[in-house]
Amino acid sequence: MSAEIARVEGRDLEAMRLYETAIRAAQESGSARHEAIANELAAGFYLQHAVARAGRACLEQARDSYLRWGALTKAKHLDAKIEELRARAPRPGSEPSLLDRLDLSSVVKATTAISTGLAPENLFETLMRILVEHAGADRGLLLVERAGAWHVRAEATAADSAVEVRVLDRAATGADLPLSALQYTTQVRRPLLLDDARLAADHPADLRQLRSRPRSLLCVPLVKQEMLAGVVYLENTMAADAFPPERIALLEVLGSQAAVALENARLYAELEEENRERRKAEEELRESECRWRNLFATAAVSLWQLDFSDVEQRLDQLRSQGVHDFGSYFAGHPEFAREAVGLVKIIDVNEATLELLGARSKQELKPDAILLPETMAAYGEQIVALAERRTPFNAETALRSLTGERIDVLLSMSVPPQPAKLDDVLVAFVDLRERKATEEALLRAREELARVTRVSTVGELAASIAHEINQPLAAMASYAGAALLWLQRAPPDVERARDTVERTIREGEHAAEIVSRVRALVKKAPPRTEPVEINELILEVLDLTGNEVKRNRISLRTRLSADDPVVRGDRIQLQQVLLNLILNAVEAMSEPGISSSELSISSRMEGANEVLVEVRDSGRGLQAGTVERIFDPFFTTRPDGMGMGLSISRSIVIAHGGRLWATPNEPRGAVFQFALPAVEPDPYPKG
Amino acid sequence: MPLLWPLPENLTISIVDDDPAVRDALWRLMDSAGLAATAFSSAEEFLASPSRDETTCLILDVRMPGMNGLELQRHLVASNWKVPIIFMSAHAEAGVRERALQAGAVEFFEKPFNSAALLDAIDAARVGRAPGAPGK
Repeated sequence: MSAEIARVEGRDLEAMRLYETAIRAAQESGSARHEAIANELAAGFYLQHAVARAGRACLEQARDSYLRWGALTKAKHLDAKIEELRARAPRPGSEPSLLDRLDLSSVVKATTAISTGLAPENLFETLMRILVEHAGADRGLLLVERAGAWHVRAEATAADSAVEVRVLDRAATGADLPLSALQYTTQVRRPLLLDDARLAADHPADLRQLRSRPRSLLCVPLVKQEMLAGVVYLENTMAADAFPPERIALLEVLGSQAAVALENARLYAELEEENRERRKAEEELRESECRWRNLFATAAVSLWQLDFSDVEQRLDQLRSQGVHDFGSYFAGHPEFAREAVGLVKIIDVNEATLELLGARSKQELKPDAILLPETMAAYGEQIVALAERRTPFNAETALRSLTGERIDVLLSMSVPPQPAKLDDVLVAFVDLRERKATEEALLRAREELARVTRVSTVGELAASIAHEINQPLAAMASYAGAALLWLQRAPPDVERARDTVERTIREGEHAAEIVSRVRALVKKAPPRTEPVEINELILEVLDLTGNEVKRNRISLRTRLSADDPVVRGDRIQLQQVLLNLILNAVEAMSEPGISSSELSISSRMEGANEVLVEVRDSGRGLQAGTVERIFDPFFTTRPDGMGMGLSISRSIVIAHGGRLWATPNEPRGAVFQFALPAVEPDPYPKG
Repeated sequence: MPLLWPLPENLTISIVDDDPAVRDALWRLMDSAGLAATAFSSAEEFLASPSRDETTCLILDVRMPGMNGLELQRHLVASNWKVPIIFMSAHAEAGVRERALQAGAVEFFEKPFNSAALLDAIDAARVGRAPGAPGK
């Protein structure tokens, strides 16, 4: 039945194959009746297609089957038909027709080969072998169009009795076949039969280009339902009329089947390719999934796969209530962050996470256990980032380990863009404790350096300070000696003795003050914030440096603000700044060749909120090009300088919310100024 | 303002030091010892004063703004001024002591010093040497 349907529908080769299948099935079942019918139908098909010998063979089979079955009338009827066919058959000795050469079994073989799903290469080979073998060609090409160009996909050559087929893939050229013939066939979509004489007359150039010297040429389009699937080119170098019309007709039949097969092959190839690609993609996906899993599991960073679906739902709810600016909504509803965090579901966490938080399983990682109340704002920010699909989102925050330890972390999240769901978001936490520790170590090192610099500055001043202390000590010794002498008098002059003793005590206090001031300079005092009277600070530092100033014969002028400005900060650090600036000024003016050295120190209010302190010298001044660099660490113009003084001074001033800068003085020298924020004087001064 | 005191033996001690406390303390020590003394805050002040020629012993600080102690000594020696000089310094700089003694100083004290030792040195200078007189 399906063979008949195939016939009606014009699927000839398939019909042939199906007839054959039906016949074989009938034989196997032992049903003579079915075998007879199958054979008769097959014969009808072949005769319809002018394949007389195959048709006659089928009819003979059908007749025999009918006889076996007992349908004598039917058998007789078929006998008459067979006789008729036999009479019409060409006489032996005449040129063998295609029919003679294309026996039934070959056709069936071809049909089967073509119709069963073969890889293109096998199909090309089979098709060409059958066509060349049975068409009486000594060379044949299978041409397939691809991307607008014709390609030779198979070349068959008959040598002696064997046919050799090579499967190839190269662009067709004029050496393969006459391109004019190919063009005609593809345009008209009908077979073209030529002999060499005709070709020489119409397209002499084509003939010259050919590698072979064919006498007969045949181009058959492989057309199926208006679709050109390929072209078969056959040639015969022996005879000018090697391809008679009936042979062409059969080739057309085979050709249309071949077209379907080729199309199938193409689809098959595409499918194969697609399969391969899909397999490859799947494999890659599996691999990447595997890699990702591996990375996830073994990463040193804490990784979380989180499901924010419920959060998203809640956010959608808010949106439907008219909330669009989540940033300000969160600011106004701090409790929402807590609620949203509670809606987050943990899909998975890696080992590093459990290790970081000291947990045994992800079940232990409840928000209440691992989140600190003071960090809730950061997690709120994260929810806002999710709502706005802002990616990547990074925030410095903290987690709490299950043992209660605060862990400073960097939260890093990449939010999938719309319209992806938020049901699998990867969040990473980087442990910042180590970094924090490094930062703290750096800070300590900086403090230490500042202290060392302070000490070395003091070291330079040590001799001078010793002088400072020795003066009151010398005075004390003298006063004490005098007091003793007054008391040794007869009678003792108690009044004078008391006076000198009092002076001794005062000088003792003076010496103690100096000592404590030095100690304060050297002491590693933690930064303190206290109200500092700038004028007092200036006088203290001048007290310490006074001797240096005098020794270098520098005339000192002070103009201190009558407002008694107060700043807030670390008195010792601010002393350090001023000490540095004054010593630098002294140094700049102590060079040979500097006459009339004048150091001027002033303080004044700049507006209502700023205190300005100015240290003006008449020294060698600032060299052009170095003004900006003098504040750089390790930059120095002195051969014995460390280059840290101004750098540290500026850091201190900046740490106090102020600024420090330098300008040239007129007519020479430099002006260093620093400005600090002024505060209200302390209403309850100590002491 | 230099402080003047009537001299029991017609002698005058001159003190030159820029530190007001030291100046005052030394003057009071001389006073308690019954010595007349005049104190000056700088070498220039001393040189400009008429007391310069009445001085029998000079107590001189090394480090001072303007002309320092060694410069004053050099100046006085150059003008053939033969009054004994007792040096004192709060700042022991290498070589200063040697230079001072070489140039003729009778004593070099490092501050702080024992007041009795200073008085002894003054006494020794007065006994051992001719009283200061204008160098001519």
